[in-house]
Amino acid sequence: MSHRFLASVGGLALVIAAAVLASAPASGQAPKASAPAAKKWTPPKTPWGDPDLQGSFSNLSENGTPLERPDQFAGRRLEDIQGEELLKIKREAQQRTVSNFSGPLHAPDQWWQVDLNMIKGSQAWLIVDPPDGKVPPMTAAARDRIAERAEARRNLGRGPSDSYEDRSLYDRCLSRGLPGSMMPAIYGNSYDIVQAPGFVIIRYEMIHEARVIPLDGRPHASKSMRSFMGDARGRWEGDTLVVETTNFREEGIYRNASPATLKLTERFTRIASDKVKWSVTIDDPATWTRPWTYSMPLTKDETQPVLEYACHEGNLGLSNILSAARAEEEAAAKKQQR
Amino acid sequence: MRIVIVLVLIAAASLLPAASPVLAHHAFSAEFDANKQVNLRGTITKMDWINPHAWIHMAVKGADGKVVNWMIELGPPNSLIKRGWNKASVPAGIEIVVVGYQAKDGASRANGRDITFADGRKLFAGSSGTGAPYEQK
Repeated sequence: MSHRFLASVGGLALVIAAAVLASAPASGQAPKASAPAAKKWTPPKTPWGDPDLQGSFSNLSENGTPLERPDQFAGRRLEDIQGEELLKIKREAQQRTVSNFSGPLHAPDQWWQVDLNMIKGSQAWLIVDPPDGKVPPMTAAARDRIAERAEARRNLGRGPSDSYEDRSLYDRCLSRGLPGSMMPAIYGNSYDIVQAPGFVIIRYEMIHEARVIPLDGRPHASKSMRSFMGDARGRWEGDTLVVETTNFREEGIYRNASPATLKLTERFTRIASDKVKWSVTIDDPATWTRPWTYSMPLTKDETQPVLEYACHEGNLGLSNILSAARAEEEAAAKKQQR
Repeated sequence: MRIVIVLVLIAAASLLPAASPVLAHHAFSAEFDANKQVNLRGTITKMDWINPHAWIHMAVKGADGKVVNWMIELGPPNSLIKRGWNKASVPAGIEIVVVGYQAKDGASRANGRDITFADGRKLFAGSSGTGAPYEQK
């Protein structure tokens, strides 16, 4: 089964590669089929002269790549885990996932395995700095703050599904926040990058966000203006788009960071006709003992454009969660009466 | 109930080492009952191609002859398209068989695992990464 599957994925990869190569010459910069990443490649420019990052991208293939360096690679560098060694761990992750679905009632594998591309994952883990590949230790003040928050939540005496307000921003179709919106998930990993003079816009399928990033050097909004996706400002450093985002809200903030001090610095660099390298540096001295960075590629995939994510209108999940919780409470109460 | 919790814990433990950044939009166990598998034969009345999950509406005739309208939750549209689904594959009026898991509140709603057409063809319906029982073998 797995050989047949790998062969079909290989075939699919060739078809996609052929399609990418066929569509690339618009910029007049089509790379040679052999080793496109190794050669010096000049990214195309927009008509107004900015580096051109535009297109439909996906990072589905990095789904399942661990954030931190797994212990089996202790002492080794990310760039050294390549070729057969990388393929082996990706293949194992893929097979683990495939075997989770095995069962007599299942549909033919080809109906669902085609969008499971773990073997195309390009990294063994995500964190590139610090060099040990681990999230740096939290500050003592952050640990105290998190414990206080947890205590305050416990003291409210609320269950996980008493009201929609007890559910996550994600369950509620509000936001995946940042860098959450850039993280691969099992679906909804489509990103559109669109440019205009003075602006870059990133559209996310999940969940319906459009980040409008001004490039004109304007200052950040007032500290009193806070949002789930923060306040983004961009600039070009050579061919790299650098985006600094601050002014986050406490709800949904990344990994218990402090909204007053969290600064995310993302870098987008087009490194091939079909690839944008993305990284994010998480800097919050109130939470971590040093800044830390992780990175992954976004791969052009015009076959999976951003679809409408009318999340609230389609969010039957939230009402199902709440009605399920009420049904469970009722069942528990009846059991107690007996 | 205890079984469900155990299954969910197993799923969570098995996902953790390989796939820490994985997120599914809604956890299966919060909405559907792994112990209430349903096998439904009926006629499609409507297909909603919506995010975060598509829904098939179908009319199912019970043993008493009464018709009940069921809603079947599927994966997101982009995943369904990649799995071979399209507008033409699920037209209103055709008969299908759905295997799935019923909502915990007892309503006529289910998380669909797969659907079978009259000619025996099958389409996989579920969202992956939700913690549904078909992911926990």
